[in-house]
Amino acid sequence: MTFTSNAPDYIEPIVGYRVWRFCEARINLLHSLSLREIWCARQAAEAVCFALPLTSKDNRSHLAPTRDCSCGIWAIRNQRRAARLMTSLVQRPLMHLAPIVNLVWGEVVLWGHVIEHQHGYRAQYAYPRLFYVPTHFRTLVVEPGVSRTRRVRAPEAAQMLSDFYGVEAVVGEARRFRPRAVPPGQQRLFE
Amino acid sequence: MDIGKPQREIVIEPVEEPVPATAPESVPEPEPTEEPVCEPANSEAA
Repeated sequence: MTFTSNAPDYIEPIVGYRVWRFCEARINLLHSLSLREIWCARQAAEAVCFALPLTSKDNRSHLAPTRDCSCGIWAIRNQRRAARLMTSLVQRPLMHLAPIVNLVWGEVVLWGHVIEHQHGYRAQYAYPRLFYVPTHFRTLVVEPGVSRTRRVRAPEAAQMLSDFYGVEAVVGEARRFRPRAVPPGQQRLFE
Repeated sequence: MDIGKPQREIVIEPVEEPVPATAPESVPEPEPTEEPVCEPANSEAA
């Protein structure tokens, strides 16, 4: 199944914001919050629909995203809203679990087939553009070759992200960041 | 994460690749096997 082939609406990717979970113990550094999407280095993330068919008639797989599903790579349109999400996840985690301290957030470019929502997007393709690593960030990583873990804090995590994904990573509190100017070749819609 | 209701569908085909290119692997310089010999460009004329 393919999307309808039409002339593109835009030739510049959209810039949005999202939150990732840092999972260095695995091969790739970043996963989505749900841990279902893996973000590979130097390779566009491509959306896959994980939705289960509701009826036997509706068992056809479809390319993600579609308007009537929740699939696609999610991003938030507004930086302030993304910063609030980041803060709420750290301060008031789901299910009353301990605060999640291995989260990073940042800017992401989106392209392909995109469903535009009131406050964000669901995209077919995405890649990180800039990482914000909170100052309180910490996680445990496995040393390669040995079964030993060590603690990684924000500055080292930022360096790892920058090296791995080939984009800038900065350390700081979420509320202090200001939207970065969008260079030629990228766009923000309805900021 | 709440992104609200869907508004419209758009198609974006970037003219430039949005993903950074893979860093080129460093290739070591081959070690010279013998001393370089400098020959005059036109030894007869000298």
